[in-house]
Amino acid sequence: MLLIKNIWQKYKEYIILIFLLLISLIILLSNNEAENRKISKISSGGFLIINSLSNFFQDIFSSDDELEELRRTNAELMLEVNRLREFSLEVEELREIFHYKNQDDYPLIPARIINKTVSKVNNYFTLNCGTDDGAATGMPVINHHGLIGIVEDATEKYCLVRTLQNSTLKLSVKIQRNNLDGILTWNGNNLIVKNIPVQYEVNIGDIIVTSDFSTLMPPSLPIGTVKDKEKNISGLFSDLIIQPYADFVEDNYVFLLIIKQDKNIWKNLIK
Amino acid sequence: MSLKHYLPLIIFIPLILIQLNIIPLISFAYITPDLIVILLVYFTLVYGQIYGTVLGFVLGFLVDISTGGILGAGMFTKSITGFIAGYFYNENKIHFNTSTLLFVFIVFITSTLDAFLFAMITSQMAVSIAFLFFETGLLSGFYTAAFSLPVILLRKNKFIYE
Repeated sequence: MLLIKNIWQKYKEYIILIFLLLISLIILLSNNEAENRKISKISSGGFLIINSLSNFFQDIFSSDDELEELRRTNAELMLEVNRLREFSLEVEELREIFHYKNQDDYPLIPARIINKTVSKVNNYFTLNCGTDDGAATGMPVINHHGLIGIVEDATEKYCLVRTLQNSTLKLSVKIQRNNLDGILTWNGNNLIVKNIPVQYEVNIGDIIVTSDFSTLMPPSLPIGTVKDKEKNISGLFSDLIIQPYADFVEDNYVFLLIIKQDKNIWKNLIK
Repeated sequence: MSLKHYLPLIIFIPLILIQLNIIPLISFAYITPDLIVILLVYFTLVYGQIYGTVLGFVLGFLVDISTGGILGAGMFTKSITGFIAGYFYNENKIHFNTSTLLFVFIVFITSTLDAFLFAMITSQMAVSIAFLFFETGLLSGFYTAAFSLPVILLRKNKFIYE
């Protein structure tokens, strides 16, 4: 008993630290469990009400309905233009098979960014729309410039978006001009498409869109343009640095594309 | 329950609102100061290491639930931050530690560590450790340290509770 007392007296700071770190690790490792996600959703949802109130004052000075309508039209036109651009390339390539690919129209849910996690490595946005408005996990988020990210989690009133500037999000993309596929990642500084064989022709300014092979996104959503090319040490592959269309700092209004996401795919992404 | 137990929690509420709503507006290349670390370090230097470790755990939990991020990441890093800040605690030098440039230095060390550990946990090692340390940890540490300067001035003029 005396020994335990002595140990406690001598090392109590370390014992408390280890105890607290163990609790943190247990919570950290059980993050995907339903109960933990529920706690997180309820608590952040409650807190975001306060955030929404601060945004309310900014909203007073803007004519919302008209602006929202214009932004919606703009976003729909952006998708339309991109679809037409894609279509003309297909026509050139496949003259005989005109309608070989089904181009779906996706309804849009307007939303406002009420919170931005500003970080070098992992950026998240919180939107003021939730499951009550039709938002669901896995829905792509766009604005009138291009792709913003993907809904990671949704409560009744809010949803959390994993943006392109998040190192844990990896997207299948392609170069629109020549259909060259690759994986888009965020390295903390730039959006990059890694390991493109050097023999493939890639020009600065080529448009990057979501790939047909993407299990997370519908095809042909505009992402950005090729800003730079960097050769790997081996000299066999090059990395493409992408300039995104969307401005992740300035943009405040977004739209959710209503598509149903496969639950199993989403589970794997979260893992 | 004395003032020392609930005062940091009361200060936390306006501070986290500023952290989430105003601080992003002054971010520089995605680097932001962490006001919660300044709060944590200050109270650790006033009340000691064990207090700091536990306070770090509690503040980390509150940060996790208020940002809707990964639950446990803030708890883990802030507990360590409070523990490390506790090494600078000296009951005979509380005023000196919190009203001189030593406070800024302690904030720099601890916030660098906090930002580095947090980025490492949340990035799931998808980004290189050197990058996380230099670009996320150190830069965030500098920025947070700069934001801790007003604390010294307020402490010198005895505007802040001890």
